[in-house]
Amino acid sequence: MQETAVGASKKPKKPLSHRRVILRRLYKNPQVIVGGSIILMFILVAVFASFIAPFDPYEQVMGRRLQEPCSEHIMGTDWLGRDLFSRLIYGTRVSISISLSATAIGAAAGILIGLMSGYYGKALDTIIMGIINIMMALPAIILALTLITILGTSTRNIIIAIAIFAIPTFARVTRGSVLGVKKLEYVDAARALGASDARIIFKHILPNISAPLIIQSTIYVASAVLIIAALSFLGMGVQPPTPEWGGILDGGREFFARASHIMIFPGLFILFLVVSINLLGDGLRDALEPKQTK
Amino acid sequence: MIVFIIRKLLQTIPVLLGVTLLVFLMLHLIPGDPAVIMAGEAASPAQIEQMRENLGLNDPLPTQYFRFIWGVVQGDLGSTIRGDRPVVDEIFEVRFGNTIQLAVMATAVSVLIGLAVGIVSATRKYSIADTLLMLFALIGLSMPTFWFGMLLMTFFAVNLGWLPTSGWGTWQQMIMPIAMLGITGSAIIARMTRASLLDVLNQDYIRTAYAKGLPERKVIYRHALRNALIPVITVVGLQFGGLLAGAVITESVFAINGVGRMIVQSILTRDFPLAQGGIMVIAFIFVVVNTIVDVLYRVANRRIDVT
Repeated sequence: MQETAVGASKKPKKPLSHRRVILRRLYKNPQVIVGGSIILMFILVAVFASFIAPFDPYEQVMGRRLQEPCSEHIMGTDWLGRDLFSRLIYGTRVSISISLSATAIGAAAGILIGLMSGYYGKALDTIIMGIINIMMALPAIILALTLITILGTSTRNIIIAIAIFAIPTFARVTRGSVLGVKKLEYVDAARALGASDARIIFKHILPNISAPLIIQSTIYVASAVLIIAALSFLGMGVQPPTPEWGGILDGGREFFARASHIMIFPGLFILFLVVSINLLGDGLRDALEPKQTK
Repeated sequence: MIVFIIRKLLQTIPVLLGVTLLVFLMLHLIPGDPAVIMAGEAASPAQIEQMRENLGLNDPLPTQYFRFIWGVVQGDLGSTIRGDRPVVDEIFEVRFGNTIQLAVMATAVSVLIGLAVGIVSATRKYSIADTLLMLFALIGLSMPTFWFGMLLMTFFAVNLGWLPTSGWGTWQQMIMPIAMLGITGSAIIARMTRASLLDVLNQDYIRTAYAKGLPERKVIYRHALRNALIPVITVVGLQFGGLLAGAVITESVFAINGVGRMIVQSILTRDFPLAQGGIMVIAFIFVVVNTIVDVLYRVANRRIDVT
C-alpha cells in the first residue's frame, strides 16, 4: 500500500506505448533510414521534376542526337536528341505514380478478399482460395501482358493490370494472418460484447494484422516498379513519347553499341529506386516482426 | 505418405482445369477476330463468315471451351492462326526444349550460388564478407533482369567480342542467358538460406552439438544445414516457376527461340491458339513443379519428425 502511494507521488516514468516502441525501433534501423531517405528523395524529384530537369523532356533537337554525357547534358542525349537526364527525372513521376496507385488498389482489393476468406471460411474460403491458386499458376508478366492486350495500352490499364496481379499475393498473406488471430480471445470478447462482423473485421482484426500487410505492400511497390519497366521492354508498357524508365531503356537497345549511356542510366534509376524500397521493406520487417528475422 | 501424394495430385486437377478456363476466357476477351486474321483483310464478309463457321467460332462459348478441353486431353491444342501448323508441334519441336534447358540450368546455377552465398553469410554473420554478399543479393533482387542481360551483352558480346549476342544451342550462346537468370535468381535463395540457417543456428540442439565438441564443419553441414534447407526447398520451387516466367524476358533479350518469346509474339500478333497453348504449357509445368515441391517439403519435414 505504502509503496504504491510513494510510487504515485514520485510520478513513475510513463511506460512507452506500443506505437512509441515501434517508432523508436524504426528510427534506430539504418535500413529504414537509408531506404526511406532515398525514397523521399525520389518522391521530391517526382514532385519537383519541372524545377530539376534542365531541359524539356519532349524537346527533340536533331543536331544533338546520341550525344555522350557532357557538361551540358550530364547523362547525354537519346536517339531523338532529347536530354536524357530530364527524361529520367520526369520518368520518376511515371514509375512512382503507377507503382503506388497500382499497389494501393491491388492491396485494398486483395486485403478485403483475404479478410472475407479468412474470417468467414468454409465454402467462400474454398472458392476464393481456388481462384487465387489458379491466378498464381500463371506467371505475372504473362498475366499482365494478356490483361493489357485485352484492355489496351494506356496508363490506366497498366495500373489495373498490375493491381490485379497484386490481389492473389495480398489475399493470401491477409488470409493467413486472419486465421492466426481470429481464434484469439479478444475477438471472442468483441463478439460477446455484440460487435458486428464488420466491426470485428475492421476494428479488431485488421489493426492487429497490419504489420505483415505493411511489409507486403512495401515489397510489392518494388516489384511493381520492375513490372512497369518489363512491360515497356516488351512493348506493352507506357507508350512513347511519355518518358518512362523501361521505355527509355528499351529504346536504347537499338543503339547500345554506339550510345550505351541511354541504356545504363535508366537501369541505374530503376535499380536505385527498387533497392531503396527493398531496404525499407527489410527494415520494416525487422522493426515490425522482430521474431521472424534477425 | 502415398495418401498425401495422391491427395496432392488430385488437388492439382481443379487448379489445372481452372487454368484452362482462365486462359481460354482471357484470350477470348482480346479484341480482334481470329476469322478476320485467318481469312485476310481482303476477304469478303461471306468468306469470313465461312471461316467463322469452320473454326467453330459461331458456337456458344461453353461448347467452344469443352471442345478445347477435349482437345487438350487428347494432346491437341489446335493449330496456329497463320501457318496452320499444329500448336503442339510449334511448341514441342524446338521451343519447349530450349525453354526447359534454360530454366533448369538457370535454376541449378541460382541454387549453387545462392546456397554458397547464404552459407558463407550466415556462418560469418555481420562480417565484411556477409555485408558485401548481402549487398550484392539486394542488388540482384532489385535489378531489372533485362537490364542485367543487356549489360552482359554490351560487355561480353559487343565490347570484348567473346560471346555471341543471341541465339541458343552452342555453349557460348548459353552462357549469358543462364548467367542473367541464374545470378539474379540466386539473390533470393541466398537471402532465404542465410535467414533460415541463422534461425537454426540459434537453436538448442546446435549449442548441444558444439558443446559435445563437434567441429564447426560438422555442426553446420550435418546438423544445421539439413534443417535450414527445408524452407529453401519451397523457395527453389517458386524460383523455378519464376525462372519460367523470367524466360519470357530472357528469351526476348537474347532472341532465343523458346516458349516465352513465342507467347509474347503470339499475343502481339493475335495468334490466339498459339498464345493459349504456350501459356497453358507454362502454367502446367508451374503447377506440376509446385506439387513436387510440396511433396519434397513433406518428405524433408517428416525425416525431422522421425529422427
